[in-house]
Amino acid sequence: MSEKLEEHLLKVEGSGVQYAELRYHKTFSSQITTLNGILISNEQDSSSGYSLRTYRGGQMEFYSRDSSPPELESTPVGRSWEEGIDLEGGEGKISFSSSEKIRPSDVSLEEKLSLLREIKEEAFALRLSTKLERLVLSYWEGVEEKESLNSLGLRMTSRISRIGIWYSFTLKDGDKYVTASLEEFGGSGGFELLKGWNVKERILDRISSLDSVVTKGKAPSPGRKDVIVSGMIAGIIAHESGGHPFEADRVLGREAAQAGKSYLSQEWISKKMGSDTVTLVDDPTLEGSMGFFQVDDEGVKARRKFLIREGKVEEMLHSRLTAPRWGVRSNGSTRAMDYESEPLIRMSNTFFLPGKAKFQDLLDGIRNGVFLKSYMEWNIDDLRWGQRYVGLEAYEVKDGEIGEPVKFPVLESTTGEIYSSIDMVDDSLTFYPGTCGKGEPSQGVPVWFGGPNMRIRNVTIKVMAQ
Amino acid sequence: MNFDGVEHYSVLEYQYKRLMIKFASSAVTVTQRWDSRSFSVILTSGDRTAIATGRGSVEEALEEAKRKLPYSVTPYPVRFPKDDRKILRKSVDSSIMESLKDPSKLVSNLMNKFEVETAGAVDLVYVKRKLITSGGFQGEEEGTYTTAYFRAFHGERSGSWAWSGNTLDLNSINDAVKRASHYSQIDGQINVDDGKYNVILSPMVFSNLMNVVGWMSSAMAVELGNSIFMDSKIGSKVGSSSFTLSDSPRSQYFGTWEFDDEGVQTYNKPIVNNGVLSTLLYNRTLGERNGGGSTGNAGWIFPRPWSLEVGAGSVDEGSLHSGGNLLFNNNWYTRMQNYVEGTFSTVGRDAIVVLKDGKEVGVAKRLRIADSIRRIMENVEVLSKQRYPIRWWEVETPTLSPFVLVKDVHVTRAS
Repeated sequence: MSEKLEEHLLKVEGSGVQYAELRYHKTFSSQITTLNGILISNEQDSSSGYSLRTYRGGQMEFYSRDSSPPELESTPVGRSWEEGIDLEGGEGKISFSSSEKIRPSDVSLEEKLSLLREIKEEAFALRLSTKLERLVLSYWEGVEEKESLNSLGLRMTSRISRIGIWYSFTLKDGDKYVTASLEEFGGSGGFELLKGWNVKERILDRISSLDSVVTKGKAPSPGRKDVIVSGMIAGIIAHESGGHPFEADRVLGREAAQAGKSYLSQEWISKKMGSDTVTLVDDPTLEGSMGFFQVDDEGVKARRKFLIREGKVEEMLHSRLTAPRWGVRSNGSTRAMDYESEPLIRMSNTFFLPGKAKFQDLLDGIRNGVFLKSYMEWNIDDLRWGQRYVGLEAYEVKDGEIGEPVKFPVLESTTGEIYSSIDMVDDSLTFYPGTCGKGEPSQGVPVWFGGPNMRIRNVTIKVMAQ
Repeated sequence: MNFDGVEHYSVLEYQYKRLMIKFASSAVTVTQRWDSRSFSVILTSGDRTAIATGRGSVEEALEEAKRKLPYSVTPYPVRFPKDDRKILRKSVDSSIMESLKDPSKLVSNLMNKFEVETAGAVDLVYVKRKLITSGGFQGEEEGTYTTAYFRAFHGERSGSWAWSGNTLDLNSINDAVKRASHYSQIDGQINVDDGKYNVILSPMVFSNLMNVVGWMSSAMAVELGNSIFMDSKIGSKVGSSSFTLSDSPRSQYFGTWEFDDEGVQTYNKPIVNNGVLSTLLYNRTLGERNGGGSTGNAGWIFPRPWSLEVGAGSVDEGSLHSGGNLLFNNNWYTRMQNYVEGTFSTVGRDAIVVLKDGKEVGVAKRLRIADSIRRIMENVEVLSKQRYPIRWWEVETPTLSPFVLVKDVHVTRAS
């Protein structure tokens, strides 16, 4: 830990604060984007600087400066929303990093570009009924390094390396277009991650599959149906209606003007909100994940949190500031995006746990339903209750078998209905990367979300307005 | 910075001091202060271009960009022709500068205005923007701006409003608090089912949708196939004749900049003029590829609007009510299903006011607009003559918008 930071923390501690935390935070990322195999942008982004967060006189203050550790300024203003801070426990000296066999920066740009060009060549060679008009492929890599210390004894250094691929494509069918934009590949680690992702095969499969939906798909019949959602859609449900509403600061209303509130309150702890099949966790300790960390930005050790266990609400995501209001200890859920960001309660890797059934078991119980394999449009209200997912690749399920493709069915329902109508999940578990937004100024932090294939009984399928 | 061996380069620097006070339950949740710089550097040699950006420092990104430049062949190389203009502009509001140092008066004035449980944020920014190019251009602009938005709660009901400007206008900020409080107090829950309705979109909502249209009007969004304008020719009809959307970098309100990221002079221009597509937004490279020139909207790679302005209508906002079934006070989470066809949905937030015979008779819950951006633009019926300068969490590009009555909007309900 640098002497400069130690000295500065000592100075801040001497000015009467109840809590202080100081962070040197550095990020570096590099991204190449191709359009139909042609490089359209090659960008490198870095940030480095200092942040100081203090709790004094009941007020939370945050300072950020690029050139040197920030100084405390004028006394805080106005009545404070905060009610106290948990000053017990936490880690001391600790260091952690993601494992990285091949440093992405050691791999040449040529190799990365040729990977994207190979995907493009094969995509444009696919025999499609529609015309592949545009294929945008973007490869990115990044490193996040922190040096954090606080007035409770934390002395932490961390280094996380991440890579990922994002893509979008446009198919033309007569005079109509269909667009798809997907983020399927991302994790913490080195360039070796790419080999395990089967990027080319999966992108080609998506293009072929959407081509089939566009040309052979029929409009869904609206009404109440049994629906199977893939791990991809289970993941977004987990994140939006499971993870976000369990952020204790949101439940308490701190983010009410921005990310909104929650359908939950303290009274929901131990109450049943879903079927026995539903177990939802948030786990930052998964090595190789986008949301990997071992100690949070307040110096609290990270662990797996059971948000919902067998349908019952178990615990929220907490910080040192929210935990005392609930009479619990922080479970290490705070993260900041960069040196200009205050640590907030964030999800890490949020997912439904798988069961023991096979995918065929999910199908077997359905006479007339829909399988939603991927999605494009989704959203949810700011209490995290009313939500909507529009299928991109979707298929009818007839008498226990996957049938014909269905064009863009809409699952529109409520959290209560979905969670209590999940009656079976299979034994698969897939994860998808995402950038979770919260805070003001908005902070995007890397996360995974995922789950097994899940069967949801008797929910409303609608037809998209044309 | 060393630019040996590079034919064209440019450095764009923002230096900023910023203060944000956040509120929840009518109390201060956090005071945040920033004192920092950001840099963007572009390097071009022949048909090769690489970009480095950084906050705090750009050195590491710049070294990486230099390392990659020899491999970065692109059809969009960014070049800077000879240009020895020097531009210097300073427009700094003294009230913002004073409150940046000591916000206590501002905060206590504001907290006295909270009639009901109120959340929100006030964001004060001083920024100095400098651009130099290898062509010889040197520009420097100093400015300030305020963004304020509030969300008032009355039991389960809520209302929102925002104000933003290059100055610190306490009256307008207080009005935003009052208007948020008004919407939160509209009583009486009414169930509204899926269907088509004549809908009044408040400036908060219309600004959010116009941010999508503004982004799609970038020539690069069209190149990438992510735009409703992909197949639209300049001069073609894309909206109702009542609908005009402009990019206004010389706005008297906000988003005011004199030169773009290539040093090209900015100017106000309609993107859609009385329903007709007037121009896309270009930087030099994309303008030349299109057979024209820059519209002063660089973004080196991705041209963008600076400040959006929706043309005013001729009626009072209250008289719009007689033509509407629903009024959406606010929205969030706008997501596209199809970027070319323009199909999307957005979630109603705060008061969704049910109107009958021009009167507010109650509020509906859990509704979203699920339609197409194209159809919304085509179905604009009437706009109010009052316009409001909006910027908030869901409206990044500052937008001056009236209330807008749109007919036959597809609305759905999660139940």
